[in-house]
Amino acid sequence: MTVQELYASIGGNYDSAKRILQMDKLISKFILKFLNDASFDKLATAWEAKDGAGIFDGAHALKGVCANLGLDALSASSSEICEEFRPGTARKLSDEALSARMDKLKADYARTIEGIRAFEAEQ
Amino acid sequence: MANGQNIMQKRRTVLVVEDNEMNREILCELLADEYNVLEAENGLTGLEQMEKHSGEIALVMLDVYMPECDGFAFLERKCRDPRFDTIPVIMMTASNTVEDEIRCLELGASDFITKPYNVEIMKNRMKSLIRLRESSAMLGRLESDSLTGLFSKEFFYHSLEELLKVDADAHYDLVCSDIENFRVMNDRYGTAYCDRFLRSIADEISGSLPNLLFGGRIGPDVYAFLIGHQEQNGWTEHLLPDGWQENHGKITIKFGIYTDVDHELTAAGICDRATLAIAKIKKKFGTDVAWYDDEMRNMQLREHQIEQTMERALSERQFVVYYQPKHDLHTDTTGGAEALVRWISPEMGFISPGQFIPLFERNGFIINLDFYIWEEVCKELRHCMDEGLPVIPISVNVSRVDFEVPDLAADIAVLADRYGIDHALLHIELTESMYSDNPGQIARTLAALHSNGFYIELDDFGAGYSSLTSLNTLTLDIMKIDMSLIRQAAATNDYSILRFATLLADGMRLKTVVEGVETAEQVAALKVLGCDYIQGYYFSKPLPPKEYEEYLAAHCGKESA
Repeated sequence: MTVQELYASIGGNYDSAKRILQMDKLISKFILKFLNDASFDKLATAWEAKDGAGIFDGAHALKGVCANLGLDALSASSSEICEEFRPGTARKLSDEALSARMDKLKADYARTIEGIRAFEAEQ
Repeated sequence: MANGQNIMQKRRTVLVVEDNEMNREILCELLADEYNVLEAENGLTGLEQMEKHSGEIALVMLDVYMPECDGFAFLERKCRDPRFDTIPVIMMTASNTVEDEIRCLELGASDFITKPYNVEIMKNRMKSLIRLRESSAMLGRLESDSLTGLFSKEFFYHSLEELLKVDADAHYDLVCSDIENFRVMNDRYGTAYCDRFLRSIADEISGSLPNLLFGGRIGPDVYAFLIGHQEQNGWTEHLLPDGWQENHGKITIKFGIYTDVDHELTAAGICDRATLAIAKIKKKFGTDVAWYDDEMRNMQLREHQIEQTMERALSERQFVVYYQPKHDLHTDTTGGAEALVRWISPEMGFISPGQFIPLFERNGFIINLDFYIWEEVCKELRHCMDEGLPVIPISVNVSRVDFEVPDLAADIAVLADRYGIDHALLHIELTESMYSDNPGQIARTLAALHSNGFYIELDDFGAGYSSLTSLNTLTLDIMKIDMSLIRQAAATNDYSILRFATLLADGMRLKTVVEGVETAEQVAALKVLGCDYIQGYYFSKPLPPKEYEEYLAAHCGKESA
């Protein structure tokens, strides 16, 4: 599987990743490192603990990493959650709507990780 | 990095402060080809890196939200430390909320980039911020004098002129300070000591001046300070702390003050006025402060007027050469004359040589004037020869400035030859004090003149700086004894110093001329002492050419009255 094919399979934006990291070699290097990135785990843990500040930190970190890797969908959904918990701002979404978004984010994340693992297995 | 590498190609160091390892690594990877990259995972470690590498870091890339110490806290602490304050910071944020941006800018951030990074935009912003900081640092170096922390001369002048332009109705005073004998001090105590001294003096004066606006170092040991106008003069008594003079022995600092400065003047003109006041009290023991006053202003205006008209005056032959006869005591006839210049200006009337000669020596015009005088003297000698009048030697004065002309001896020889004048008829008068300026050059030129057949007269012997070394080193023919000695001798009826001077001259086979002789008693005494020539009002005042020729016809070869 090429990097480009990986991005197609996980719904990532290869062009965006290429614009930032410039070489497939680097995209490949960092997308594999994403497997060890702790941002999602932080978000998930804070979510379970209903820790608003922790949710913001985790979502904010995940949003940044995903943006730099061209993982646009993940970046957009983590951004939504991040803004919901930004310190000093009022919540806009209902708990149900928020839970639905978090579920979607978890599913997107799982699909992405699965795709990257498959890519890793081929390296 | 190789030595001598162009500074523009120098690899700068940037500090990346970002808690997310992935983002940090991506950024480091993107920057590694152009920069040395330091990393920190939060604000606290970022500050530690700044502490460790403060002199190296050219720019900081800073994440906003981080644990321990976030971007805001980092900025707050950074801007409080003068070592770090000027290092530019680019904030990196995934969420470009306006509130965050405003807060970061208020805390001193220079710019923003949002994630995902646009590498080209990011690198260009980094470059321009680094360039901006480096050029302001360079400007800062030009603005301030690194030794004293005062403004540099250029920046002081610029600031002064700008201020006077902006605030036309405000009243200011300018204070200049000058350390007397600073060069001697430098030789004696060394540069390091003198640097410390210069710094402490700048601090002391800055601290004592009332309503100080700013100060500049406008010369190696000259400072200028602009202060709000002071109505009373009492403040000048405390320009240096009490006891300062006692602790600094022979070092004296003189102050010149120009009050209520004229807004129309240039900064250099304003500072000139204050330094002119200092010049008035230079070497004057016990007087350390002087004010620029009307008398100085009038003198400056007069000098300005002289400088405006001097060239025209020369071309219009306003300078007239007068001749004062020298009486030969052995033959009792006129044995020579001294050429003296007079300037009668149609606009300014009679101008004393004491006024224009020092000015011409400063501005170099004396070279033109002296050549003019020498030529007039050659013409006069030629005229006497052609008219069958007695032809006697005429002495002309040379200035220390004339000795800067590379072939002075050859130029004078060419001039004399053009008019067919025997070189022995032209005597060159120089003052003894000139010898201290450039002894080697002066001795060589005099030797060349002497070997060309010109006679050399040493003027003003006994006035001020008499040194037996110069008598021994210079090629001389005649010693002119200063009029102060004859006045003193006549007043006390004690001719012993004059006797010594004539004996000294005799021992060195030099002829003597005594100037300033006014009475028959003085003539009789000098005759007994064995002087050769006498010049003074007793025989004649300086005469214009026509009267001089009549005097020659009447007195040469005949016994005087």
